[in-house]
Amino acid sequence: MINYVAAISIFIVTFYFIISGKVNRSIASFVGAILMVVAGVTLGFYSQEEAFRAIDFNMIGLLVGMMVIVSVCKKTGFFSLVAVKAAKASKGSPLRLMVMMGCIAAILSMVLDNVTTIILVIPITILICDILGISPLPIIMAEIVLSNIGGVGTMIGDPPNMMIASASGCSFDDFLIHLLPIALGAILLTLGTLAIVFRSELKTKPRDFGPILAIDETVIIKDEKALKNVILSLAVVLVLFLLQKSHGFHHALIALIGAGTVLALVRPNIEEVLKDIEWPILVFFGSLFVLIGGIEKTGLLSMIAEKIVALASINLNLAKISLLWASAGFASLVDRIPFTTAMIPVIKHVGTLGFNIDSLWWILALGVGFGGNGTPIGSIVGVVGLSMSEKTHSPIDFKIWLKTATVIMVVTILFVTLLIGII
Amino acid sequence: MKIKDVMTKDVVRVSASLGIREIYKIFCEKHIGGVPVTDKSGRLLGMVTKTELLDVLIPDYFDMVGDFLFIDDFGALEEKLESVPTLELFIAEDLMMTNVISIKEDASLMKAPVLMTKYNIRRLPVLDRDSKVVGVITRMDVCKALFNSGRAKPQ
Repeated sequence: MINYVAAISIFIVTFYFIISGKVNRSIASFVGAILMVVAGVTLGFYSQEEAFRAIDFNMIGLLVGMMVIVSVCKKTGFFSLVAVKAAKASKGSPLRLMVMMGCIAAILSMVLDNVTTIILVIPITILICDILGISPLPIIMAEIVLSNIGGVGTMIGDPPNMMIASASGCSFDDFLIHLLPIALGAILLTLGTLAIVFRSELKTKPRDFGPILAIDETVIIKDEKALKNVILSLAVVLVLFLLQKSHGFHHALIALIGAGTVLALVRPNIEEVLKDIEWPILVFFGSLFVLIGGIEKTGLLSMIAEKIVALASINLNLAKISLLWASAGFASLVDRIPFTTAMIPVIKHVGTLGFNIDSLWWILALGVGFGGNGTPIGSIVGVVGLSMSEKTHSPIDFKIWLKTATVIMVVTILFVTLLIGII
Repeated sequence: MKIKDVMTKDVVRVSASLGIREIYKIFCEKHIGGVPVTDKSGRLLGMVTKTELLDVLIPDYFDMVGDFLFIDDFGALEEKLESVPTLELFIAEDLMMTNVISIKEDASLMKAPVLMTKYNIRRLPVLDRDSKVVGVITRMDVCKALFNSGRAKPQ
């Protein structure tokens, strides 16, 4: 009993500090993890060895590998090139520009980190809109929301997906088969919703399209050889992921092969690349794994799992829908990473009770992924996008968020609810 | 040599409420590139230089745009600039940088070029013991003092 109380109170206090933002979340989770191990060793429910084993190095390696590739990629000017090409192809129609920039954000987020995508795409979007004399608001909103939705579509699109992949052993193509079609459907729904909500903003025609046409695209890419090598490395990663079932390489190994390839081919300044690796996020993940590992050792998570199984044996679809909406609610109101970390061992326990858990993994990924759009604090993309929009003439406020992104979250989660029987 | 021996004593100060256009006029007429902003008793509040005047023209988000050298024609952005009525509303208080590096009048002359090169600044407001602005020392003042030392004392 004392084990439960100790573990749960450490977890709740840590969780409070993570979501309240009073302490940096990496520091909060790190201190919480240390306390958990101290309590575990003292009370005898959790050892240091078990704490180390709780850290999913497969997921951490996957994240580090992708961060290295992204770091080299963002210095090539690739993002500006894509944005300018889209602006030219839009022929000055704000609606077309919104659809194209939104889809670009979604597609890039499927392969690269969402936050990096947003940080590189939004400023150039604002600049292009200012040159054209149109409101950047609908386009920024589309980029934020679709970056979250696109990230759900692939195994490497979003950290929760990487965690689920690593824990469930599902391969890259499993994710493509189960999640990509739903993500694509959600992208269409989102674009439709945005076109309706922003119908008046999207009517304004640009004053002059000439300045955009005058941009010389060949100047944008400073180092063409580096860009080609980055694309080659990304292609190596994607091919290895697609063939994962035949060679059996783990996720981390594949991403690190990609990182090794890009480092060997481009030979960038290694210190700059290593600075781009987001150590705070890695510390955060590592600490959460240790924290949840402690909770798991007390036997609490298997108890929750038994309750879920009890519900599922009465009504399977009801259990699935509850999981979906609970995930979405958690993701929109609090941090989705701790929630995902906590749900993974629960779902695993459900699996050990002789239940087919494949669909539960997909529902968790969809719930936390689409749920992130619910509030501006639901995802880092939202937080970053919002603060970037504050530097424009039409910043995104809570009201705009409520009538666009929150609506889109409800629409997309309803969409998944309708499909619940076939997931 | 002390700072107070080489500084420019005849220094223009402006109040926090002075408008952007008046500041621009002072720059033109006096052929200077920066003025200290002071309160009524002469204490330093901040500095306005040409950099701050130019900064007003550039939208805030520009520091997030990695590279925009490939854009030659800024289109509607430029048209908007020409018809900005809000530009006139800026006063010294909005423009000035507040974390100003200053120097005491009793400090040694060598401290000025060290600060100027370290922080890449062109002029340092010189303060007395009560933190009141008593002068300004520019890169040119330092150069004159250094290259003329041992010869006639500079004006």
